Amino acid sequence: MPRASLAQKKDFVTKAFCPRILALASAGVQDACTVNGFDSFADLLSPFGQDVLTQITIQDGQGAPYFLDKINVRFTTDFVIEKSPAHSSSDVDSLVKTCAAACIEPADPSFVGSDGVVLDAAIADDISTWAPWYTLFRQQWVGDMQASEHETFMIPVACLLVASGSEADPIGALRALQASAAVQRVLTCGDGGTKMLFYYMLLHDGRDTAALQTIDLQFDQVRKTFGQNSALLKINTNTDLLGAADASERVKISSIWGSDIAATRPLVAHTDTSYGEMLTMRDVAALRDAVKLMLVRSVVPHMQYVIRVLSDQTASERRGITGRLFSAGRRYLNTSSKAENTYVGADGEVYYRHKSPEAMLRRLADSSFMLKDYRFAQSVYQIARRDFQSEKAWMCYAGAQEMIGVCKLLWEVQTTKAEFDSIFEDAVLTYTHKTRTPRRYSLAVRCTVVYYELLKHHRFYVFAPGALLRGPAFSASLTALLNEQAAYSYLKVGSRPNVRKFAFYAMLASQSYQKAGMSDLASRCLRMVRMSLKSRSQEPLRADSDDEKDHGKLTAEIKSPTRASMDEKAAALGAATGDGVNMDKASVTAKTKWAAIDSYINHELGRQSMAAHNFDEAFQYFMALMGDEKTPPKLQSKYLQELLQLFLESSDQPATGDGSNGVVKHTGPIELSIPSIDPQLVRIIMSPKLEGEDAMLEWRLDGSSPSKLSGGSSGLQQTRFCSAGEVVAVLLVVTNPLVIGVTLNNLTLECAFEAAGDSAATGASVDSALDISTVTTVILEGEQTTMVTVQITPRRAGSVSILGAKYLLCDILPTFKSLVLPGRRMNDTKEQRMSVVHTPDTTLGFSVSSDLPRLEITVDDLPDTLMSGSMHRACLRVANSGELPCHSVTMWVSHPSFVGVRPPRLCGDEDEEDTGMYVSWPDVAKHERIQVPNVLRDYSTFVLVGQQADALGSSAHCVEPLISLGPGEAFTVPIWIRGDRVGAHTLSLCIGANSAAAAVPKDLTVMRSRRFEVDLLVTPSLRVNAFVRPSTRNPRERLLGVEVENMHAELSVQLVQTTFTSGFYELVPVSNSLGPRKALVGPRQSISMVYRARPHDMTQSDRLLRSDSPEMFAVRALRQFIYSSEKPASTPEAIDLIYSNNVFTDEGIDCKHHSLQSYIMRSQAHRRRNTLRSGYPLIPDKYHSVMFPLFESFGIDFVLFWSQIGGPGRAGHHSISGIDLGVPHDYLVEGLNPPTEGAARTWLSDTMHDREALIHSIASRSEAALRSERPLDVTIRVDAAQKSGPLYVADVAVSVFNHSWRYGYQFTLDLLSPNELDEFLAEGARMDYSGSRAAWSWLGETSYSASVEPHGLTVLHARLSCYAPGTIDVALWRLQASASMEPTAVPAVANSRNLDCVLYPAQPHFVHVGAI
Amino acid sequence: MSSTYYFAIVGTNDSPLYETELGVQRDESKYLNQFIVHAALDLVDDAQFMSTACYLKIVDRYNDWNVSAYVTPSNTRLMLLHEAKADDAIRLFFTDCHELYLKTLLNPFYEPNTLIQSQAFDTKVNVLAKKYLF
Repeated sequence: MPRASLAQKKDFVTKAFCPRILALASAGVQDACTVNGFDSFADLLSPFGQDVLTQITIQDGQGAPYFLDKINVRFTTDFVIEKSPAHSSSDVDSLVKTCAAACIEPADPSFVGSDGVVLDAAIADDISTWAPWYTLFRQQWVGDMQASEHETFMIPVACLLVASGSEADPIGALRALQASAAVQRVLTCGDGGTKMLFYYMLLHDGRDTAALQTIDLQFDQVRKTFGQNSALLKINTNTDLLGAADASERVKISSIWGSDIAATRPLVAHTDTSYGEMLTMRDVAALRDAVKLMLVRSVVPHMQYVIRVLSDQTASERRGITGRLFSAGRRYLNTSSKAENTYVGADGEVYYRHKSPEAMLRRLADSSFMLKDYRFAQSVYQIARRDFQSEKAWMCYAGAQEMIGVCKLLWEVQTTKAEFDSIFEDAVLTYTHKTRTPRRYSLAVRCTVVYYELLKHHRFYVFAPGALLRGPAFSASLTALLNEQAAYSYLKVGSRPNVRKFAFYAMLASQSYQKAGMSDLASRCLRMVRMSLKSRSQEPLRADSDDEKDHGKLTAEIKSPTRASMDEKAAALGAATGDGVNMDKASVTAKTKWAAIDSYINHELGRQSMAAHNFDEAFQYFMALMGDEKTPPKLQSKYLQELLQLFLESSDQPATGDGSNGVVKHTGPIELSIPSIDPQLVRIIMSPKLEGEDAMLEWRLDGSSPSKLSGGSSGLQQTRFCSAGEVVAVLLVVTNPLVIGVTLNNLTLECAFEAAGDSAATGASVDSALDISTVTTVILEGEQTTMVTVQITPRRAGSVSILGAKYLLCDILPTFKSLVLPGRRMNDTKEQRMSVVHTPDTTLGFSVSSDLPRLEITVDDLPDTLMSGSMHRACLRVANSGELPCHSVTMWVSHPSFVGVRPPRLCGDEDEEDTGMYVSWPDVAKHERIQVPNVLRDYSTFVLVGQQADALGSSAHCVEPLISLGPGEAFTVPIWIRGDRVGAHTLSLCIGANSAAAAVPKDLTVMRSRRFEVDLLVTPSLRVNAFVRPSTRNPRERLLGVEVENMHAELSVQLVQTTFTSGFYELVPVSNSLGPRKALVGPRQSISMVYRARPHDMTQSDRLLRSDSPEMFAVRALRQFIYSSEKPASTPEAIDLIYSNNVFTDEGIDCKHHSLQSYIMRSQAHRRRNTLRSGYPLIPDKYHSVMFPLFESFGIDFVLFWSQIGGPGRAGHHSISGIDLGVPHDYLVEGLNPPTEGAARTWLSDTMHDREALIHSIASRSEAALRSERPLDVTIRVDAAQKSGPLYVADVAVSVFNHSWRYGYQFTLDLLSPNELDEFLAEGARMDYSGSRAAWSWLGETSYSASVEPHGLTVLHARLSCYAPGTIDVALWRLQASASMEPTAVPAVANSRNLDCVLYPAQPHFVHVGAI
Repeated sequence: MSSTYYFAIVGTNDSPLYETELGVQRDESKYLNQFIVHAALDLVDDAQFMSTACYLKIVDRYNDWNVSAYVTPSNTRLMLLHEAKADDAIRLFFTDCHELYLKTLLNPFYEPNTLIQSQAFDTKVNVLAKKYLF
């Protein structure tokens, strides 16, 4: 069926209201037509009535001339008023369907592109091409309109009678035709005081060669009989049928009628019919000339005559106010006239009789309109309209209104909207609501169509939607048709298409099409809606919101790769599974931010696709529906049910591989948005039955925490490793976004497996390499979140990556959920920066290694609360459940001062009894000297299995590692955890294992590790404070007091033992009276103990100067670090530590036992590291262990052991490390002196600055420390007094001790007389002196000048006298000292102010004089 | 007076920042409400250049439904779908909602042109609706 190439819109209206000519033919003529393929003579003439060029000047109804360029006429074969019944809704539906079916496949209109609405095309293209079925409909609708009593357009203006010359009596035949019933029906309708025009035509059939001789004679007789309105027509001159001389001429002739039929009766299929077999081009010309002659000579003049007559007859009606008054008076005063002029038709409407003035006015207007005298016709219509309105002849009134509107748009284009739009609105509403005729809807539709066509002609699209939407909605298909046109009109309104309006009315059209059962067009409209909304969502933002534009761009950049990668992955998966699902959902489903709109469109399109058995597309639409959590519960349930139904239906359909008939069976799993499984929340847990986190960690063996693989250093992509046969748990957080409950069945994972050394992954290898568990049922209530664990057991070495989850939704729908994430954003190259490139994601994957140790590591009895100082025993159990021996197991603890580790013990080996942390010992010596290594190492790492390494040599004191751990073997490690510091702590315990037989761990090694973390709360129990006082007995002695306070409200402790550890001092209690009973500390009680700290060996005063002393080692190392930038290679010598024990109970504690020894050393190392880190921030941490020893000679460590009385029998100890007796030790400053040789000659500028800063900081620190210390100490020893006369005289030995080992001092000691004390008070001498100033005095020399060596002692002798025996305070002296310095390079800041100082006694010194 | 309203705040990129049904809620017509308001945006685009006021009154009609619009200086559209014509009440409702929206914009944690998910905002809009529309 060819598309209708219809005339322009304006011509459409003029042709719709063109004059009709009744063409009646005799039987002979009918035969001549039949041989040419025509049903009637009217069909033969029909093409020649279109656009007949008249080119004549005629007069209008008022006698004014105007030029009639061309005219259209239609030839009819019969005439019946209201012959056809009114259109029913089913008729209309069927007509619309026929029109739609007559068109080619309803493809999307031209303005719909792949990215939405193409605005340029929407503006430029013609509307008629977007919906050709509407063009067919309007042509058919208007063409089928029959004559009505309220108008005269359909009444023939002339009657063409045709007889054949082959007939015996042509004149008789013409007379018979003139008397036919059809003619009579026309005459009865057209009697308005004029006669009907009869035009007689004698036809000569060329086939009848015999009649050729007589045809002219016969025509003369016809002319004589019927007058000038006669014509002779000769056709069928093509008698040479067999020759078929010119085929192209045949086609040309046939196309004349073919195109005419396509234009006027588009729904009639005549594609195979050949017209005019007997006609030649000469016949065609004769036909055209005959019609033109008839129109020009007879029809148009006759119509002019009719107009003139009617104009005269209705002159009074049209004559202004007078005529109107006359008409009104006649109407209201003469009732008989009204009754004569009007009648009520069969449909109950008021009509006018043909002879009534109103009917004549209408006929006059119609005739003028048909002769294109629109101006005059409009004025007559307006006159008639008033009468119709007053008479309430609504049919006639609506018809007049309609024609007034048409006339205005045909000649008064510049009129305002209020006029023609309101006129048409009035006409349609009157037709629809005020008339009762069954044809009112048909007429209203005609009125709407005509108005719409004229609006399109004048491009008044702004009125078109309103006009179309006012149209009668008595049929769903008609409503759809008009809504669709309204939607198109919105694309033409204004300078910019109203796409959103278009979308709305296209949606309404779709609804109506669906209601009418025209699902193709409904689907087409919805597709248009989807595309138009897509174009809106992609439309660039306004220029005034640059920020938003940038933001949107950025957002798109961020989101696009995610979607792209997801789509790519999903497509790859679809290809791999062979399901053939088109995963490009974005191109099919509606994706605006208007959720309800999207849901509606997707649902409707899904239903339509489902009805069309296009299941793939339907699946995509329904899948898009499932993702919206804002959908009301009812709709959610409905959508879900329909989706399941869709799947069941698609499963029932037979599969067709090529999908040629549109039925494609859906076999593979589809990707659905419910339930939601966030890939970022997916957790892969190695060895799920064990506690702790399993990972591959980098061990640096420098005390730092084992860290996750940085990737670059190790070259490993994955961060998780497991061995073959090991269970891996994948934890999925599944959330149901719907408010209705769903069930998931047979939930499992889709994984990709790449065998080690094999680059290609195949589906078969996945099945054989992995054993993936299946969760039978997961019940999800509305908006519920639950966790599902799926276990993967790899069988072979390789790499596993999780692609997604598979499950049966509601036990019906196989569903796939992608769990693929984009990796890290690449930013290395220019291309990567300009585009968005992500690395492959490795978070959801793990590697299976064949040589990886497979250990079951458990830690039992980890405490969560501890009292400070108390010990708790936990146990680490390591079992080798793999098939390979494990050669290396290492443990790292975050708080080494909290943890004590015993040597590992193989299970089943019960030889060694597990002793407690404290080993009781009945014979604890008061002083013991033990040599211990003095190297400051990292004590946070323990080797449990493997050969001892120097780097981890600390294990020599604590752990004796196993050589290896064979398959099936297990060992336990007792771990003692002590509450070292009060507060909340998070202890980390990391155990790394390696199957490699590497005996010596390198600085950086990668081990499979399991990390445990425990939150430990340490509550206060005892608080131990130490304080130092100088001793008056010896300048080298100090008194050390220890105060123990029980902070606990219920705890009672028994002090067991105190142990002091020092390399120089020994400590003895001042009083031994503190027995077991007095060593009890109850709740909230406190106890004090005082010890005398004195050098263990007084003779070793040069201890510091020995080259193997820890202090000298530090000085050398510091000097080497500063001046040669080299890391010292040597290690400090072992140190002899003096253990001073004081036992309060029957049995003491063996501090030499290796378990306690190692723990104490670890605590000391921890404290030492912290002290160095804060004291020397400019020295890197890594140098601390090689520059400083673990113990200093003069430091004192204190440990207090206690046990709980009653209760669970807890025991523990408190310690204070590094007690400083306040004796100045400025040895480290010596390290700032440059060495005599070996100094670096050149330094970089930065290095120079660093070193200067370091020197300055160390010198400043020493100066600050010295400021509060006294370099010299003076003690006075008074011998027994001798009675000498009235006086008691005693010899006095004054000892001056120099604590500095850098400087010797020259000093002057003045013994101050008590009477002279007031003179020195202003200088800071003792203001607290409370003794009797008159009771005693110095004898002899009281001023001494002497010197004292570094770390030396100088004794001076004096005498005193006392007047009476008693106790006197002899601490009255002044010491003026000045250091004897040698030239040094040490910065001046290091030279403390104590180099020149004046000292006075800091405390009293009472002596007994005489016998008391 | 009808008791059903549909109120939406539409961002500059035509996406709804906030939407609510006031009064009787009908699930089945939710998409129609959105369609009508969305289609009326075309007319708002034209009408906002015909007036200097933010309140554009009724910009569109569909059957018995009217669409009133209010355009903020930043081109955010406040749209109300209603049946009853109450110009002054709707204008006051729009003005107060605009103030609410401004306060939301002042929130440093709110990114302009994104969904308003504040429960407080929702409550206040309902209070304003009860004050002016019902």
